[in-house]
Formats: sequence, structure tokens, C-alpha cells
Amino acid sequence: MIFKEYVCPSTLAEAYETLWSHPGSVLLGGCTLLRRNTRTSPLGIDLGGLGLNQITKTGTDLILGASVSLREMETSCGDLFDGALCKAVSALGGIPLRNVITVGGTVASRFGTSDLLTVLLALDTRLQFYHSGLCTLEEYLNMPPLRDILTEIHIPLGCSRIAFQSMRNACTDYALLNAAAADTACGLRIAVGARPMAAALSEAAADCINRGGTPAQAAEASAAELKFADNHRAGGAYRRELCLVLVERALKEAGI
Amino acid sequence: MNVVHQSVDKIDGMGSVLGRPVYAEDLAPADALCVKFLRSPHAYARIRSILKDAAMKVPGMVLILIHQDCKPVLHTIAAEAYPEGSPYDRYLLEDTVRYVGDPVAVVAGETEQAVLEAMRLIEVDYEVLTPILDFEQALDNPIVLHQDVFTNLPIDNDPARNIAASFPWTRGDVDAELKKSDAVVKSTYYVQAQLHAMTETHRAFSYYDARGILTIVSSCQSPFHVQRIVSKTLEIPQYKIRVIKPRVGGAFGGKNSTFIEPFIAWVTKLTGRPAQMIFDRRESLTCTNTRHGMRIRVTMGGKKDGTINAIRLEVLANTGAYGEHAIDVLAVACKNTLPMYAKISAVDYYGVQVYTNMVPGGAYRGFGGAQSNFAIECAANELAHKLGIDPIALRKKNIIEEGESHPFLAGGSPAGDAIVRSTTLARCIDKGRELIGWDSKYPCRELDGDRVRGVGMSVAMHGSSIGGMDVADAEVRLNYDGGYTVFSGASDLGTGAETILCQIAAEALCTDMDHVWIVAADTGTTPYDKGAYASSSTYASGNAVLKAAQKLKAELLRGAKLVLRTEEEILFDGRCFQTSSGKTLSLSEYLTKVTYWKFAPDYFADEKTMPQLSASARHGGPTSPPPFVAGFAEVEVDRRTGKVTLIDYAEVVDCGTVINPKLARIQVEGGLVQGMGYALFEEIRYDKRGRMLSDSYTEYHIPRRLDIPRMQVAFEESCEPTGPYGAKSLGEVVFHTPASAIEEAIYNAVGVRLRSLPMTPEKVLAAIREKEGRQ
Repeated sequence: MIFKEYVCPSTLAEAYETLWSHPGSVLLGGCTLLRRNTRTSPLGIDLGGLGLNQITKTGTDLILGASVSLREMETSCGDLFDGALCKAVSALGGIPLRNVITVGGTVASRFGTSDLLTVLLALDTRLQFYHSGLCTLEEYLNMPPLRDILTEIHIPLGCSRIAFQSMRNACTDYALLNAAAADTACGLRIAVGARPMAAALSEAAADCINRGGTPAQAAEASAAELKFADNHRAGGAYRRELCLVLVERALKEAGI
Repeated sequence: MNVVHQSVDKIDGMGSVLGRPVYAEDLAPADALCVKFLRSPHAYARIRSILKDAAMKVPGMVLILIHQDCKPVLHTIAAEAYPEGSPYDRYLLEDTVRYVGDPVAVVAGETEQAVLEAMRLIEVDYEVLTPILDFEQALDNPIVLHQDVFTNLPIDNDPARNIAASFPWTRGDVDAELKKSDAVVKSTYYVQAQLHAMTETHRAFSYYDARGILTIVSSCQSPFHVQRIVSKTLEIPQYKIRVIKPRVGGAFGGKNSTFIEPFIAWVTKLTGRPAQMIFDRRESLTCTNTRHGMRIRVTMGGKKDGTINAIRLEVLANTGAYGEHAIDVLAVACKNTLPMYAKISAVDYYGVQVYTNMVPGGAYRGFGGAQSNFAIECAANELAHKLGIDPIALRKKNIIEEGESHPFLAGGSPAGDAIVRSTTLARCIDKGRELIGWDSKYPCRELDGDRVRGVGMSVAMHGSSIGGMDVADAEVRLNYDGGYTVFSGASDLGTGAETILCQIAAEALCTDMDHVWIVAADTGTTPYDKGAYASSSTYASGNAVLKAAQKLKAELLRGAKLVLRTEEEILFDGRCFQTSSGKTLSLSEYLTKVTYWKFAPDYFADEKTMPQLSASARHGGPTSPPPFVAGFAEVEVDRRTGKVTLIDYAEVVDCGTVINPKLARIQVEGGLVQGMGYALFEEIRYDKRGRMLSDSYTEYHIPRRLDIPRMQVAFEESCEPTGPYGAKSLGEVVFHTPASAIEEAIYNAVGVRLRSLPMTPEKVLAAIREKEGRQ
């Protein structure tokens, strides 16, 4: 990507004001996928000076700054959430790439194929935006495009068990489907992503388990409830078949 | 043997790893013009006009060349020996573009930024035409891609029918034989196009040297053919052009066409300035060439006793927008695979290449043989099951043996079919069977309710150089400093060919690698060599070097006799000459005496002195001895997702004598990984308008280390009488087995046949569901 101008704001207020006063300006975080973009933008706004790379743990939450790299997240938080955060990013390209990709970029871009989004959705993650404040990841995934700066990702620590499953052909391919099943402080959350649309919760699967259903039955409920589509990587019908398998396996692995 | 058969390090390995500037881009002059192509966004279009004035005003812009600027010289860009089988169906630039990415303008400027800026300002008015994007719809389609085509040889090029070439070959009556078969397999296979994905993308630079010779340094495979094509297209005499191949970062066949050289040479010719063109990864992947995708119909008949008595192969291949390697791929798909089964009574082959508005097919490791081998081996495995015969037993019953002939084997003549003079394939099969643990794993083992493991095997052959076509010349010179220089036109592509040639010379001259130096692949200094394709570097170039070294040694003995003033028998151990009566002379003493004029009168009564010794030799001839391999795969299939995980792979190779076990092993592993990618992961996708979507490694999946299982590689050496120290080749044959061995392993695991590559999880699951539906 080519930028006619480039600035390094030192405060969030400055960054936000610049973003809104310059139509067509682009926020620069890890810039991994931006490198493949051939457009020209009038202004690039570098987030590097804003201190968004902290990892903190409160009594209730793990808080990841938006500029934390996936590798930093893996190495600092690998023991949390049954290793699900690590598992969710292990297929992404290799350590050199994960040193550059940020959690903020991954979440804010809402890519359908993201494995991390599925895990974060199952974990009942909240997002902190500079101007719009706090919202749930679920709300954000269903919002129209938001011209704001993501500053923090809050993951509640009250999850007792979680498992992540994904299906891809080559080991660093995009997922053809993924699923996460978590027993959180506010109940069962079963998320399915790469449909190819981004992660969505299956209420029907959670209800099924809560009423004493088996993992296989819960998986069938999720496959009936959620939508799947064709794209050049796989067909929707195949994705639905995968949903039956991955949700069941995630539930079994998590012991739910 | 002291040097051959040793795992000698690549002579330039450490240098490359330590970052010595040896690749094309390292050597380019700092002031070289940056040259790029403006490319067509349409799969098929006519250019109505091109406006370049605004673009030329960009500061730093030097030159924009379009089709009106070039003399229309029909040619092929296939860097193969003259007269090429390839149809001449290209101009440098034309008013017609035939695939998304086809060059429209050559844009040259002082900097990359200037060129990119200028490219955005060039206005091209296209008349967009309807393209052909399905090769099964190309034949006799009312949409026609070419009008002007010239052919050197009769290849049945018929542009009005969109046929680039066809290749029929028959012996016996297949239909009559099939009536005698106890079982017949009739299947259709689809094998996909594949991207080379070599580490170093395509690039070259050109400049005038101090004498005004147009010099091109190109990451290429065949510098002599590049020289000839540049000469033809720019109308410059060949002897005023010099092409040098530097260190190359991989090619696999993908650099065997002149994508760049004539264009930068054109810019240098018009401006007098050095010019460089580097393709980025996207261009290398989407705008050069691919393996030919094909549809292959196999009919194979067998008898109760396991004899394969008839084979028919019908190949429809997609040559894309241009036909550079069309005919040769069809010929190799026939001649380098069908001779495997020699008990045959009738064999019939018909192949046709059709033009489509897709990226052109080109040379890629295996060159048609890989594709047809998949179809033949899948059919052979299927036939074994149909006959109730073990697939290993079927192979051992039918594979060609030493002394046996086959009508399609290279080297045949009206006087008689060629025979195989070296093969250990039966031993390769036995060894592979043992390495994979076949007996305890065949046909499959359950892991749990969802996952099952199966094993499968296949065999393959190829050729070693092109019989009756390839020519390699070599010269070996003894220097006054006691070292030898090998001059060879052979092209090392990172393959280690230069190391192999030095090993051969060192062995013949009884010396060590330290004393042998090689100058290679430079039309200005080295003798002619056809270049690196068709697995010829060891066999053809190696034979030339061996013969030249042997001639040199004979000359050296004659010279030593003169200096020792003896007619006695003389022996040479590499450092010292000795007569049968015990007179000795060291090599360094000999060299001192023959180099310096002062000593001449002492030793040369009739001849005042001796010139520096040098010997030349040529390899050329009808032979192309096949290497053989046996491949064994163990896979795990997840019945519920269709995922195929590779667990283990064993490949046992007969390449004749193994000149360098370490380099040979690396070749095998590399070929297997590419073959596994072909079998399971690699798929080129196009959008509806013909643009290749597989333009990066996030979209196109070559295997990573984590995708590849343990690879067990072993060699069962034969001794090929026509090869240098008994060697054949292995560059291409090592690609072939994974696809068919894995297909059979999947069948043995879950009972389904997959007939299109790659064998993705979605296809596997669909086949499993379909089988369940039928039960």
C-alpha cells in the first residue's frame, strides 16, 4: 500500500481526530495484510507510539492491548484457557509472521477465516474502542463498519473449560471451518467460524447440552441453526458436514 | 571410486549460504534501468489503441515500447534445441492479448517508482473478446485464438480448431487385445496445472560490454537457446550476443522459456543502457507458465495371470494461450511412461493440446510423464484389485526387465525397438515394501472409529536426456598451476550439476575436487550445451565431461612420455607418472617443464614444446536410459472430515550409479514434496473472467515441513553401460509416485477411488458419502 503522507500521533485523541478529519486515511498497526494491498491512501496513521502493546491480568479479565502481537499473546498466555489461544493461531504462517500480526488487527478486521475470532467469541470477549467504548465481540461482529480505534481486548477469566477444533487442508491454509466450545462464567458458548463467514454463536447447540443432549446432538443443532456458504475454497454443504464433526469433537474434548 | 559415489558438498554451497553475491540481482549494474511489463487485465482482447504520452512525462521515465514498435517476428519462447517442435505462435508484442497477464507494453525508467507511476498513466483501449476458459470446450470452439502459426516440424498444429499439437502412436490392435482380457479398467482422470513456486522469481539484466557485445545475465535454464531466440527476435547476429547464467535459485522447468530476455535486450539495444527486469512473486506465479493440466482416459486390460495385455491412453491437455512446450509434453507423456509395462501386446496413445485463454503450460519436472503416470498407475492398481491380484505382484509380473524392449522406448529405430540395459526396479519394490512395513499394514489398520490408515504403492520411470536430440559439448583443460578447468554449457539450477560434473572430471583424472574448477553456462566462453531440462545434466553433460577428461588424460600420458623420453608403458595416479622400469615424474615437474620455454630444448627435440593440454568431446546419441522408482505411501484418513494426513513415505530409486549420495537424496526429497503437493494441496483457481486467483502463497499451498511425513529414501544402484560411471538421471522421475501411491493408500483405507487431483478433503468425503449412499 502507498501512502501520500504518514503521521505518528502520540495520543489516542490525536490519532482519533486525525482519522476523522482525513477521509481515506488508514490506521497502521502490524500492517501484515496491508502489504498485499496495492491501493494508494492519502494518509497513514501509525499506532506504534500509543502504548497499546500491554498485557495485563486483573482479578476478572485478561486484557490484551490491540498492538500485542500474536506471538506475544502465545508466549505470555499459552497456559490460559486450556491453550486455546495458542491453538487458534498456530496455523498462521510461522513465528516470523506471528511476530508481526497483532490481535487488534485480527479482531478489528473481522475476517471470516480467522480462528482466533472463534475462540474469542466462545470466551465472551469484550472490545474497548477509544470513542465508542466497550462492546461485546458478538455485537461488533454484527455492526456496520466502525471508524474508531480498537485499544483493548478483554477476555473474562471465568472460563472453566474450552476446546478449539479446526479443519484445513495444508497446515497453514485458511480454515475450511472452525469451532470452539467453552464453559464460561455466563454459561455454555459454542462458536463456529470460517463458514466462510466469521464466527457466530450457536444458541441451539448450547440449549441442547443444557437440556441434557449429547455432543453429537448439539452439533446437529448447530448445523441446522447456522448458515454456511460456498466459496472458492470449499462448498457450503461440506462446511455443514464439518460443523457436525468439529462441534461434536470440541464438546467432547472440553468434556462438556 | 574416489570422488564419484561420494557425498561431496556442493562446490558453491557454503558461498551461497554465506551470502556471496552470485545471483542475477546481485550482479546487476547499479544504474540499470528498471523495466516492467504493463499486462492485460483481460483474458482475450484486441488492443485498439495505447496512449503513452502522459506516462512518458513522469520524471525518470525513459522508454515505453508497444506492439507497433516491434518488428513482427513469429517465434516460440521455448528454450529448446533448434528446430523446435514448439509452434511459433508468438510475437514480442502484439495487438492481441490472450491471457490475463499477457504483456501489453514494456515500460523502462530510472527508478521503480517512476515506472509504477507511469504504468498507472498508460491508457489502453481494449476490445474485450469472449475467452475460452474451459479446456474441454476448446476443441472446435467457434472462438479461435490464433491465426498466424509457423511450425518447423509436423506436429498437427491446427489453429482453426484450437489445436496446438497432437501426438498419436500405436503398436498392435488394442481393441482386439482387450477382447482377450479377463478384466478391463476404463477410467478418466483429471490432473491439474501446477505452479513451480521456485525460490528466486524470474529475472534478468542486459548491458553492452566494452566491445559492444549485448550481454544478458539471466536466471535461466538454457543460455544457448536464449541467445538464439534473442538473436531471432531482435535481428542481431548470435555472435554479437552473450548470455550468461549466474547462480539460479531454483527453476524446475519454469525458467525454460524466454519471458524476459528479448525485452530487456530490446531496451538496451534502443537506449544503450543496462536494463533489468525482475518479476515479483505474483507475476512469477500468474504470468509465466504452469504444468499442463490434462484429462486422461485410460483403458487397461489384464489377464487372470496378472499380465497387462493392452493399454490405451487418450490425453486432452491444456496448453493455455501459447503452445511453447505442447508437443514435447505430449510425446513425453507417451514415451516416458508406457514402456514401463513390457509384456504388453498392444498399446495405443493419442494426445492433443488445445489452446485456451489461460496461463500457458510449460516445462515442469515430469513434463507430461508425471500426469500420465498418475493415470496409468491408478489404473494398474485398480486392475490388480479387479483381477484379485496383489498390486505389488502385478507390478513385478509386468515391469520391463533388463534386455527387454518396448516399441515406445527412446532409442528405437526401424531396425529394432530399444532395450532397457539397466534396471533394479524389482529390488526397489522389495526394498520399499520393507521400509514402509507393507506386510503388517496392508491394506489398512483402524485407529479409532473415525480414523483409518492405509498403504498404497506405485512405480514410475522417465528418461535421461532426450534421445536423438540432446547435444552436450565439454572441454577439459590442464592448467600450468596443476588444476583442471572444465568448460561446460550445462546449467546448474541449484541442482548441484556443476558439482557432479567436477566429480566426474576429478574421478577420470585421478585427482580431487580441490583441483577441478568449472566454468559453465556462458555462451561467450563455454561450448554448446542444450541446457538443463529433460534430466540431462548428469547423463548428457556428464558423459561429455567424462569423455573430454578421458581424452585429456590420454593426451597427458603422451606428453609425459615425451618428457620422460620413453616408449614404455606409463601409469598416472593423479600426481605422479611412473614407467614400468621405475622412472618417475611428478605432475608439477611435468607442468614446469612444458610451460616454460627455457626447458623446451632439453625435452623436445623435434617439437620445440607442447601446447597447454585441452580436450573436447561431445555427447549426442539415441539413448535415453530410463531411471526407475518405487513409491510407497502410508496415509491416515479421517472418515468424517475427509482429511488425508501423510504418515510415512518410502521411495527407492534406480538412477544407475549414484554419483553423489547426498545431492541425490536431496533431489528425491524435493521431488517427493512437490509430488505430495500435487497429490493433496496444490490447486490453481481462476475467477470467472480468467484471472488467476492463486497469486500468492496464502492462496496457493505448496507443502510446509509440517505437511510432510517421514521420508525414507533409498537407492538400488544399477549400472547403465551408456551413462557416465554407470549413471542415468533422477531429476524428474522422483516427482511421479506420490499422487498414485497416495490415491491407492486412500482406497485401501476407505474404499473410494479419487480420479481428480488434488485429492482434497472435500473430494474424499464426497466419495465416502457417495459410497455409503450406494450401499
